[in-house]
Amino acid sequence: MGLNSYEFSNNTDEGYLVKCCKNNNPAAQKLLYKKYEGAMMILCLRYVVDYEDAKEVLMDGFYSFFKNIGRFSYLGEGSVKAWLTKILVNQCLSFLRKRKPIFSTGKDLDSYENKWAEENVLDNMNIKEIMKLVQSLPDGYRTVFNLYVFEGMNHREIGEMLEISENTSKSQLHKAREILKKKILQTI
Amino acid sequence: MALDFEKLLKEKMDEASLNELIPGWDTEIHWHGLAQKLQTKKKPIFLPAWSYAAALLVAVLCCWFYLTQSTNEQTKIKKVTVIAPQTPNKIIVETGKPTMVTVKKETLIVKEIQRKQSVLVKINKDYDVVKDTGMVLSLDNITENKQEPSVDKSNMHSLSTEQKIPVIAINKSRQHAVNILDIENEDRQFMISKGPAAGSSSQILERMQFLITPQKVIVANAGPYPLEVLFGK
Repeated sequence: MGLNSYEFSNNTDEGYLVKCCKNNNPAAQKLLYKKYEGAMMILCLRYVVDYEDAKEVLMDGFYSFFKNIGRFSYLGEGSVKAWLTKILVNQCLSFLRKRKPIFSTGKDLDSYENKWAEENVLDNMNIKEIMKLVQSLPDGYRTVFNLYVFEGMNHREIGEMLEISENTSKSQLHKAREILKKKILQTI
Repeated sequence: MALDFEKLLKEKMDEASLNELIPGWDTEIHWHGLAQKLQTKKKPIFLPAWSYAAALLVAVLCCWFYLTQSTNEQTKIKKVTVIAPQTPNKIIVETGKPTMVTVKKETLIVKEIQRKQSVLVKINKDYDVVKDTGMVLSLDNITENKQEPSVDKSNMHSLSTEQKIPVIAINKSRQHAVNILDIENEDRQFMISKGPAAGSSSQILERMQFLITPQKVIVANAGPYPLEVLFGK
């Protein structure tokens, strides 16, 4: 099968798809997009609460991914997702930075606590509710929580990425946990 | 360390599907928008033809302006012969004592006191290339003395590949010399000599013109007689 062929299936090797994407093959691009669109949109919604904003970030992220795919080296299963995740996380952080400072005082926390509605226990929660739970965290707490819990980064990496100290990262995570626990317990 | 509820949270999030979260999500529409954006190629920037012409015109004008200015400057220098009021108009250079004088674009005249002979000294642009310090120059070919000078060809010094100045074999014991060292440009040093072959009292040994400013020169009298240095003509 030539690189410019349009015959792809869902079982097509990801490495081959990447190769074709490097040749600007729209079919390969579409297949990769469809494969990761869901996970990446969920990721965007975790960071950027607003649906329209999250959609915009998703599109910008994929655009950046396809435009820079020439610099990407395929290292096996999972490498595309890892690279895409990295791009999308950066896009989300960049979006949040543009909108307003991510890290602010505890005022957000107070307002957040007043806004919180009743939720079920985590086990019984569906994805919408879990998303709502995460989304309702203040920006700073949510960002650190997302990076630590979902992206699996440590505090040093988070500190470097967000240009904050490790201690700030730890304290933001701690506060995020406190809020989440409190809210989960409230629902029991 | 991640807590249990965080692990559970992550698992749930990983397993989640977009349709569950956003029921109306249409992949095709979103892909279409992205595909259009991806296919839009950046148009190369072509400047209109007149802009190249304008740039060329500006370049030509700049060159013309530069050349005109240079010519004017040369003309100006040639015409300036008035003694600058702030400079002394006369300095006596004792034998063997180099004297530094400051001049401003005017002609420097060095007179040999004993013989009452005027020596007009100018720095010629053509000699800017001369690096050979202490070079002995004689311009008998431009003097009134039509006598064919004896030329020592072994001492020929090149100013350029095509231009050669004949150097006269001089009895050095009788040589009068004016060393002019331009201390602003120390690699330019001229030694103008007058030997027995150029014996005419009215003879102009060398014409040089100062083309560089400011002028600080050292007049070194290597001859047996003191020299009188005048500024202006």
